[in-house]
Amino acid sequence: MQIGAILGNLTQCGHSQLFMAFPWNCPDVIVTSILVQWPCGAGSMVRLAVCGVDRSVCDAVAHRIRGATLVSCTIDTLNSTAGCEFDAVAFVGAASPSAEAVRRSVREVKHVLLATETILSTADLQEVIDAGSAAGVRVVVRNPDQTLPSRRMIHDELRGSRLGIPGLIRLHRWESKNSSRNLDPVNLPAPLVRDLDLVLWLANQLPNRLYAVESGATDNETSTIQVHLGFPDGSMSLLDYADTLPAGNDHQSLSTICAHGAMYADDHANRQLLLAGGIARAEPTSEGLAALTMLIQQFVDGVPLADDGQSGIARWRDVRRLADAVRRSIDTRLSIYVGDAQHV
Amino acid sequence: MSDPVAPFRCAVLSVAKHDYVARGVASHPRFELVVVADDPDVPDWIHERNQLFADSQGVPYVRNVERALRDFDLQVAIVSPQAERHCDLSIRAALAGKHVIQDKPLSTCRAECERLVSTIDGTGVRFLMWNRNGLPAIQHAQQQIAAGAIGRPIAIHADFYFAKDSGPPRGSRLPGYPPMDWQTHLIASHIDGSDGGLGRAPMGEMAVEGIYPLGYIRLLTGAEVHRVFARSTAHFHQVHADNDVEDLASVTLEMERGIVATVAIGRIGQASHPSGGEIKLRILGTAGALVINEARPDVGVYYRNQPPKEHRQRRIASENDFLLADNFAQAIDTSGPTIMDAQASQRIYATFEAALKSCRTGQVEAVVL
Repeated sequence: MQIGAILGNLTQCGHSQLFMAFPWNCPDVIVTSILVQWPCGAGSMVRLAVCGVDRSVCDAVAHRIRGATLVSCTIDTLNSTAGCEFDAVAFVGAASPSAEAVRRSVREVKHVLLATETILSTADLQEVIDAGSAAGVRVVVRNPDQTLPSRRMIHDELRGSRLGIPGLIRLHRWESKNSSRNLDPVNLPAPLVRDLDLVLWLANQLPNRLYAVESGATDNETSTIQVHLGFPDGSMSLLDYADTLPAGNDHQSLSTICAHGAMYADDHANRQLLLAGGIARAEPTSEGLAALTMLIQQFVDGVPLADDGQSGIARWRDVRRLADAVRRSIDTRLSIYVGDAQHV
Repeated sequence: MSDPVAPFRCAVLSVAKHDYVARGVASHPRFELVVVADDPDVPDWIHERNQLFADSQGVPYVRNVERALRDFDLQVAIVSPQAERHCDLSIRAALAGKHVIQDKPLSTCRAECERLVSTIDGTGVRFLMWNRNGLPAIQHAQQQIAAGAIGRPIAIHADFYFAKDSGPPRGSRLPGYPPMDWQTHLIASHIDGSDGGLGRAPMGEMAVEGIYPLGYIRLLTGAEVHRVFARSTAHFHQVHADNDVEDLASVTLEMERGIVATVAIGRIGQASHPSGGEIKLRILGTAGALVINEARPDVGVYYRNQPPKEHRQRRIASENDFLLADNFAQAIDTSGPTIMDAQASQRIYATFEAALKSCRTGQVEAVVL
């Protein structure tokens, strides 16, 4: 078994040179099931191209992954390679693949993980997943925040019995001002849409009413958006998003108030003091590479996920419908009835 | 050496609910408790509480409010009866020319709020709604904002969870048993201080404790609330479910100058936090942000066989009582405003009235004064 980072900056060296260094063979790809039949058979290494993170990050994650070799690449370099160098492609992090780029991977019979900060439109997702079904490859759409250790712990506890039914899920996400806002297809900040998905994932139900309000900062490029959800069982959620912070650290907090207890994942509490003269700084202790590692390992392992294929698109369709209602609520300044109870 | 100033002589008009307001005021050297008083026809359990408190302070207990207000050369009345009597006792004190410090909530009834505000305006006495705005963390936040550290506030979020129980958990009432009586339960809850909503009329957490987070938001933004959207539920406690009042709520507030605020508030059960509850403020400004833990500074105290209800993190260095009393003394001295006067209290009442309406209608509701 060989586990290791594939070194080489695809943007700086020729592809042939790079791939000559790989101990990979060009396989005859035969996929018999959407849920993972990796082409090389049991015990073989999956060859996974990772788009959207720095090479150093990809390198570090590669050291932690069983059953796969990873190579960092960009969408451009991925698109320009021949079809058989990879078994699968993981679009993660800041990657923003076009629908065509994803379709191309599927056409080339590559399994695809879509766990980017911005998700394709529902129509594009549907097309890609349909194409994957037809081609017999696995297409997984995942919210990358779901594999954060803090979020996983909260999710797992909610699915257990100790804390009881959640009554309130409260989420804050404050980000720095960006030169250009990363917008979802429904014209909301992409991280807020991911947070909508995260709340649905945790609550395990769809809201029936929402209200949202946006307040601008000093310019028209940034704002703070509050989303207030009401669920059919009386529980509720508050989502707070802002991209108004000065350049520097972001801030996130997730609290979940349940019938028999509560959980607080607050990076306010996860900071360490740096005393270096003047006012002390509170340095964040991050959740490291655990989230990306798990995301890729689950994909490599073929762990059946709720986000696989058609169930994944159904989930994102719910999120998009909700995001659309958020936009309408902001624009009309009205609360919006978003339907009867449904389980996610 | 400063000239000695005669302390303000204070009547304590009932401690039916709590005595922490009276004790807090008395901690300031400019205030002196001289009498406890209440109406003669209040129930015996109230007389007993009043008598106990009077004895603890070494002052007489008079079962006649008007006589006490008349005969003890008073300047100040400290009012802490059941919620539905708050305004009535405050109004009677104001009409007797006494400055008023009142416990929360302001009232259970809009008409009483209006009568109080009108009376305070008419008599010219000072009024202070007891609050937590003098806590060190809140003072720190106020100083940071005043210093321009985060620019102009554009959003503020308050988490105000009291990790307290309130009788048996929801779902524990057996079929055939009658609903729990609100006041009976609250009277029994006095022993552990979880009787903040004491009175005949059931009150949810927004009405009982909401003045605290809204007090913070007012202090830190100086802006009024115009519209609200809210959700609420009785999620934890049988007594709340039986009496159709919330023990958990979330409120979105639209305020002046485009400021947006949210409040998450609940009496969420003792098990949900080791030290009384997660109470935090997040303030977003045009040039930065503050994340404030209301409980700081504190000291962690842990030991073998520690009682489950004992807070592991204990707050220290709070001057809230002193600062509120000091603010009130200055207001009397200068005929100036208090940190939370009758009008501000009425606005907070109106905000939660609109929030409760929003919970019923599912719509965004205007705050009506």
